Amino acid sequence: MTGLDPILDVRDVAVHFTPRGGWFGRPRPAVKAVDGVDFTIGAGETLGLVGESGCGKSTLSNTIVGLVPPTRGSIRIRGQEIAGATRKTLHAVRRHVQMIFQDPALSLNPRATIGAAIAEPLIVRGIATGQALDKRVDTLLAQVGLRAEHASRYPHQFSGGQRQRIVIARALALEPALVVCDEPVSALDVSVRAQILNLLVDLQRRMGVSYLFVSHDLSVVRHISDWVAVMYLGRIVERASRDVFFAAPKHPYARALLSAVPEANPVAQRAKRRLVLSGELPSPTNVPPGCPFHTRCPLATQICARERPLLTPRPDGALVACHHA
Amino acid sequence: MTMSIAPALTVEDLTIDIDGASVVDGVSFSVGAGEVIALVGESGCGKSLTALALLGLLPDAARIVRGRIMLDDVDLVPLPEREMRRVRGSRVSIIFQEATASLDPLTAVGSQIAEAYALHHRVSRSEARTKAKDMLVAVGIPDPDHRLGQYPFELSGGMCQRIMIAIALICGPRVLVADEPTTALDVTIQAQILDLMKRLVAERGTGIVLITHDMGVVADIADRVAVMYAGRIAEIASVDDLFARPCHPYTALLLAAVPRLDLEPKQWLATIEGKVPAAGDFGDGCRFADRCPLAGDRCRVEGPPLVELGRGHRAACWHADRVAELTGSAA
Repeated sequence: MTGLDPILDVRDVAVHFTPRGGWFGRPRPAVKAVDGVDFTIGAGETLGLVGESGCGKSTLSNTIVGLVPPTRGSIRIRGQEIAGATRKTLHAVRRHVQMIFQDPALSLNPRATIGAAIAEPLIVRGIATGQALDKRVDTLLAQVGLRAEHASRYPHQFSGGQRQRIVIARALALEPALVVCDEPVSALDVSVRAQILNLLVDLQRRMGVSYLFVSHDLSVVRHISDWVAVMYLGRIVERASRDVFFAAPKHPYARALLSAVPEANPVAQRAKRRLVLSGELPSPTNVPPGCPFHTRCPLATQICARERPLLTPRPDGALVACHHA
Repeated sequence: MTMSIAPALTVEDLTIDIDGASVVDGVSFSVGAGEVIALVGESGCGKSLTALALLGLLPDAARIVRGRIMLDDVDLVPLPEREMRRVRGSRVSIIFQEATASLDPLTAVGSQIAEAYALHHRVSRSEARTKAKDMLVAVGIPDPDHRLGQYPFELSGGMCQRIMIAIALICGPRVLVADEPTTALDVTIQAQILDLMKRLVAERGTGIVLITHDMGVVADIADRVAVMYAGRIAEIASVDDLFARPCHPYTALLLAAVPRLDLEPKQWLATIEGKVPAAGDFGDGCRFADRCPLAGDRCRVEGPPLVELGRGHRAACWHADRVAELTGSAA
């Protein structure tokens, strides 16, 4: 989001899924999982992407790493377009973008040693062989706080936190410019979560890697991000720098989300006035017209049911999609 | 809030063995009417086994070898299953993390709530159904007549957890055990459920034993907190005392490991090196000694007892007076 040459430039990206096989072949409505999203991430920066289940944040991250093709829009990684790109271009671009997931146990082949897992991207790309390869694996293990002798062990011999370190080492093997982290610490115990967050921050400082950090946990997002984007039903409803966002979230959904986070501080927690949202998230097959949030919004008026609000800049630099905020 | 009157539930010296290892060891706490006590700790600390023991639902491999679980003046430990069944669901009940998985997918939720009542009361079907409907209103479900006839798959996760709470509370139990009740829910729904639990506790005087790993949830809803580590209570205190003045190194490090909205972003978070010892490798000393920055020779050979450090504030650490050094001002 700094001026020059963003690492990732996402413009008007939409991902619609058309379910097959309706009742007697009748067509069913498309699921608009992501519906017109824009943002950029600069070198060495972290964008925290926040939202609740079903808001489209995981679909969006899968699209950015090229696992799901976008229905519309442009995704540029270091200036190279991946929307509609050929296999060859995709292969070349993917070197710069890697992904880590919530459950590291599912990301590792149980029958491959972790040394083999980390070496694989280097072998596939023909980057290193023989002794050079072993050395590179040792370095990667050291970077994530593991030891060289760990290379010959199997995933089941490690704890959850160590496995997440292994997955991070593999993601870093190709020295990517961007790592998409989809809820990387949600399955971990508190003390282990702190270790992984420390590691991610430390790696960014040392290597200048950028993160798209997807999470539902606003305390974690504030801890690690430079920029914050809040998604609701496939759209970004607010985007701002971390400090601006946490000082004064403006969209009523963003405010409700922040007020709902239970803080690990009983005194602050008691003083907090909670904005409890009524109702639940509507289905993404049936997004309400106008502002998608108007069915649950305490500020909603007639215009909200008719006109979709666009992201517009506010005096402090935040972008907010709301008629009333 | 206070322990002035007789508690609803008192656990004394509860010890549970699996294969000869005490995975829950000498755990004591109590919960009063309308009070919320949180059992906090990381995976494998024994908090869920403790919760299951309160309901007489321990897995076959686990055995209570010592201790008492007093519900008012009845000890639940020696009760035969026949009698435990009368207590379970009526005087002590439980809700779990996966509400959707705890409900019968083939039975309308109204019947499931009514059944919970009819099991413990001689009532007609229609009376049980009326009770179920009142309970749905009490847990904040709009349009109860319509909802009674719905099946779990038609309801969201938050709605299913409300149904579970309705089932758990319909007989007016003295104590509700809530095992990670909001962990699977989104934050805005979690906030709704926590508010509901707070309101019901206040209205009905039910005591809650809350099992959680989330310090935010603890700060939000608990009156008192017991921090468990490797099967033992490391520290127990009122929620304010525990967060303001942790007296066990494990508590202090756990609190400092949580990213908070009021701290500097990207700063180094406290970590706890090493891992929890395996059951069977506990030894005689303090079970946290191998990971504790304050541990000395004594800690490795002699387990510290839980000692009173302030009003209702107890910690099991030989170096409780030095714990503040660990996190500086962070505590």
